[in-house]
Amino acid sequence: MKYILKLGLILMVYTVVAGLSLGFINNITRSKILEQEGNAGEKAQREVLPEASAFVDFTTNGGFEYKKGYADKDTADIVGYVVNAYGNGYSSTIRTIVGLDTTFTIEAIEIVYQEETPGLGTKCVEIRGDSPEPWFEAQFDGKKPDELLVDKDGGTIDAISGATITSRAVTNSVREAIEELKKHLTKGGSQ
Amino acid sequence: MDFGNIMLIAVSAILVNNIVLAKFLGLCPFLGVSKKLDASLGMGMAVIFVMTLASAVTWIIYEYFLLPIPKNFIFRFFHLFDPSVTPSMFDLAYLETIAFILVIASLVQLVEMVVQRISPPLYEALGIYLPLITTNCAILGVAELNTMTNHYSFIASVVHGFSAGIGFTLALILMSGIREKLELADVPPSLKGLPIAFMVAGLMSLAFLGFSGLKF
Amino acid sequence: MKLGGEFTKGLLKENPVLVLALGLCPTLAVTNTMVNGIGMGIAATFVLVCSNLVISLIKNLVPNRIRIPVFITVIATFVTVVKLVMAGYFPGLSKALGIFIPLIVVNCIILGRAEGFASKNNVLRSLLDGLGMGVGFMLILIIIGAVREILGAGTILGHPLFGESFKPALLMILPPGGFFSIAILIGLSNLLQKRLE
Repeated sequence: MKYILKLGLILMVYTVVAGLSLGFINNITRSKILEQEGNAGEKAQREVLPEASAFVDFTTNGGFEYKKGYADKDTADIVGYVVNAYGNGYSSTIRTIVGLDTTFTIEAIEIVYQEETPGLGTKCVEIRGDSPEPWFEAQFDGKKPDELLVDKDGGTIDAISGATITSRAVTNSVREAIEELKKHLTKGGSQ
Repeated sequence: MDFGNIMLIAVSAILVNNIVLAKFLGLCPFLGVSKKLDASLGMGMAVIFVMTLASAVTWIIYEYFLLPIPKNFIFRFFHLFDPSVTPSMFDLAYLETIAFILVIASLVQLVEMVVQRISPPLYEALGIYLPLITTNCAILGVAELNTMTNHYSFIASVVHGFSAGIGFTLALILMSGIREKLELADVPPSLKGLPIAFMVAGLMSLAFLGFSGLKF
Repeated sequence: MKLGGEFTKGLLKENPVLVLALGLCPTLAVTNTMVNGIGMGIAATFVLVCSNLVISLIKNLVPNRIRIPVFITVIATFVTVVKLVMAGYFPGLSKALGIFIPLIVVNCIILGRAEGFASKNNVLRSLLDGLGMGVGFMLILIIIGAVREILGAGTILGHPLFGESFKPALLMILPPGGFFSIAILIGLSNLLQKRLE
C-alpha cells in the first residue's frame, strides 16, 4: 500500500512538472494563437464587405448572430451586414462568411472552414487562373437570396462537379442565413 | 440534438467515415490482429467497450475541467472562495492531449481490473487485447474528434464513440475474413505479409468510398 | 555499435515504417500533399528527439512499475509544445494536420523508441537514435506525399507540374491511394533489402 502511494506520488510529481512547463509555453504562444484566429476572422469580414471599416456584433432573441458594418466608426451609416452561414457538407460543417449590402444583395462570400473530400468538395475554395477569388465563391457576388439554388435544383449557382452535397450545403446555408437576417430586420423594422 | 442527427452520426461513423478505412485511425491493431477471425472479434469487442467509455469520460473531463466556461468545476471551486474569479482564468484546454491520454491509460487499467474481478470468462476473451488498446490511436482520435473538432454534445459523443467502435470491428472482421483466404493465395514474395494486406485494405477503402453517396 | 550506426539504422535497415511497421496512421492520413508530409515529419522528429533525450536522462529516476505512464507524460508534454507552437506560428499547417498532431502521442514509433531504446541507452546514443528514426519516418512521409500529390493532384508542393489537359488520378489523394502507395513502397523496399543481402 505504501509502495503504491509512493508510486502515485512520483507519477504526480512528473505530471505536475509537465503541466507547469506547458503552462509556461502556453503563456508564450497563447497571444500568438489568438492573434492568428482573430486575424483570420477580421480579414474575412473585411474581404466580404470592403466598404465597411467598423463592425458591431448583434444577436437576435432567437440567438442568430450578425454584424452591422459601418462606413466609419463615428457615423451611423450602415453600409451592410455580415452573417455566418453553417451548412452540413459531406464530411464537415462548412462555415461561410457572407457580406451583404443594405438591400440584402450579396457583396461577396468567403468559405472560412471546410474539411470536405480532397479533390472534390475542397474545390469550393479552388482558385482558377489568375482570379483572386475562388470561382465557386465568385458566383455568389451580386446575387439575391431567391436566386441561390444550385443548377440541379433550378437555380443559378453552378455546382462543383462530383461534389453536389458540398455545393448544396454552401448555397442553401447562405440563402437560409440571409433569409433569417432579412426576417429579423424587416420584422423589427430597424435597418 | 434530435434523433435524426444521432442516426446520421452513427451511420457516418460506421460506413461513410469509417475510422480505419477513411480516417486512418487504429491501423496497427487493424493489421496486427486481423490474421484470425476469433482474435479480431475479441479485439473489436474490447475496442467498442473502451471507446464508448472513453468518449463519455473524456467529454466530461473536457467540458467540466478544461474549457473556460461557467460550469468548469475548477472555476466553481475557486469561485466559492473568491467571487471575483472569471471562467477565462481557468482555460486549460491546452492540457487536453496530456489529460486525455492519461485518462485513457488509467481507464484501460481500471477496465482490466474490473472485468477480471466481475467476469472471468469475459476477461479471458478480452484480457490480452486490453493492454494493447492504450496505444490504439483510434481511442484518442475519437476523443479528439468528439471534443476539439466536432464539439459534440454528451449523447452525440457517446454515440459517436460506440459507432466508431462498431466501424472498427466491421473493418477488422471483413479484413480477417479476407486474410484467412489470402494465406492460401500465391503472392509474389516481396509483397507477402504487410504489403498485400495494405492492398486489400486499399480495395476495401475503395469499396467504402461507395457509401459516400449515402445521405439522409 | 558505432555512433554513426545509431543514426543511419533508422533510415533503411530498421526504418520505422518500412521494416518495423510502426507509425502507420499518420503515414497514410496526412500524406495527401508533400507539405503535410514534411510538417508531420518535422513535428514527429522533434518529439522523438526531445522525448528520447529526456527519457534517457531520467531513466534511473523512474520506478519500473510506472515507467510507461511517465514516458507517456513526457511524450504528451512535447506533443503539446509542438501543437501550441504550430497553432501560433503555422496556422495553415496546423489546420491541415488536424487531430494527427495530438495523435503523435500514440504514434507507436515514439513510445517504442522510448521504451525499447532510450530507457536502456545513454544520452548521446538516444539522441542519435531519435534523430535517425525521425528522419527515416520523415523520408517515407515525403516520398508518399510526393507520389500522391503528383499523381493525385498534378502538383508538387502546390506548383502545377503538367499542362491544363492533365487529368489527375483523384484516387491517389483519397484514402485508397494512401493504402496502395504504402503497399507498393513496402514491397519495393522488401525487394531492395533482398537484393542487398
